[in-house]
Amino acid sequence: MGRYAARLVTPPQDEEIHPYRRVWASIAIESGVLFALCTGVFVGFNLIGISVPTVLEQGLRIVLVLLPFFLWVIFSLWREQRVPLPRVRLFAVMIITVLAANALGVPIVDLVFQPDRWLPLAPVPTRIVAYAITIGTLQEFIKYMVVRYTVWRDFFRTRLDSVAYTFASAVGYATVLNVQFVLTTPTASPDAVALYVFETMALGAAASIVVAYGMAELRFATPSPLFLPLTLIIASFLYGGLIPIRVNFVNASFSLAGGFPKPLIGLMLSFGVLIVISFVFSFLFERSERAAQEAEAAEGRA
Amino acid sequence: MTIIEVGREETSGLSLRQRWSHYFAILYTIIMVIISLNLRDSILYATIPYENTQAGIRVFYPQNWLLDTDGDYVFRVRDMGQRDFKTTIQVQIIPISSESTVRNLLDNLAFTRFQVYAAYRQFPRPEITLADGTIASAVDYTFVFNNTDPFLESLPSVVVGQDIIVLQRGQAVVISYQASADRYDEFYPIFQNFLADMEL
Repeated sequence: MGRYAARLVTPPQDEEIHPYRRVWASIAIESGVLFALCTGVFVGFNLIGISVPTVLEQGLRIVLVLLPFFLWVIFSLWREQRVPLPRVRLFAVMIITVLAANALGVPIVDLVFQPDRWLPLAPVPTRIVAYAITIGTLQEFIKYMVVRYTVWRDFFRTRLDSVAYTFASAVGYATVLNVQFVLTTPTASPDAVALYVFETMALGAAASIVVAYGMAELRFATPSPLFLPLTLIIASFLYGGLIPIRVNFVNASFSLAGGFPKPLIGLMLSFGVLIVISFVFSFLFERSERAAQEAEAAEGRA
Repeated sequence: MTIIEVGREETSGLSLRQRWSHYFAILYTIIMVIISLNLRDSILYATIPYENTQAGIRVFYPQNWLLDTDGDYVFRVRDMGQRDFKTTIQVQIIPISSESTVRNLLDNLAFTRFQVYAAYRQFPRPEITLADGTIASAVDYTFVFNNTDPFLESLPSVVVGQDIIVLQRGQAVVISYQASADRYDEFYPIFQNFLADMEL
């Protein structure tokens, strides 16, 4: 039996076990897969011109509207069970958001705010502000309230728990909006459904990450009492303010030179917003965490 | 006897800062809802003045509705944003003889509309008082609207209408409001505002 000199063998390193699911990785995978699938459906149906029987088309619509939910179950919920310290109540947060969105969010928008009656003809700045203070504020507030009264504080062990829970809430709300879209426009082609599903999910997730930062800071640090409402305002304008901009890409502009819709740019815009928000806020989360650790170490030395 | 409260338990572990943060979030949402409802009403019920000195009317009609004065009426505005029947407010002036009554006029209107509208039915309503105190007769009616454009391939829709009739200075002023049955109640407040602001 051969013997190796001890100095030639790499000493085994203590592998650092991360006890929690890595949230940013899950969001990146889910968003990436959703983007790829939705873009694929859009290119296939809109640019290549794939045609499928009506029954299959109907099935494809149902799969598309439930796609964010399925991806979240696979890449977040299922993976959560495989880590040493899983986050609890993720599914509860998602389900309660679905119920709240269906019972409050959608009816209030349809029956009280009625944006379709007064906003399409309003000038662009009015539309941006109005969508933000109606749909944006209501949606972000409902998601905030669900997380606040279901898991906030007691179930927040690390700052990134906030992202995990608000993302679950975003998936629930987006699923309700997607289902409602298909029910109200049953003749929508799969490429239109794919665009809507991705854009709703991406912008909802981006806005939720902003609110997640506010909730995490409020839990683990001592920010100003106005900090959380400020994140709600930013999230509202992020979601609501981008609706008219996104719609401008999907609908052709009216001009003498002729107008063509640019839906792929709208898709890219939503994906870009999600990527930028994720990077910016992952940096902010990291910075806050490091500052907290340094403060703790300084306290220990003292 | 003095009661000193000691050792009261904190029901929740929230700090004052967290509590206020939560209150501010709720307050922000309430303020935004109030502002958005106000903004909605200011856009939805925004009006534009219209005056016709020859006919002697002054009205405020909804912004973004299409004004038309070329027909056998003094004034007509339509909400062109509707997919099927365009919600319409119309003012028509009909010369009448001194012996004519509202009943004669209603019969005449019904006779004309029977020939133009499909399934026309009329339902008399009690008299109403306009904003300036004028007593006016009212009649509701329904008919079926069929879009004649074959390219639109639209289904017929049921329309509900209301006529307000005022007799003055040897003429009858007929103010009509027509909307598809499923939107009649939704737009009726706009018609009521129109009536309230109208000067004859």
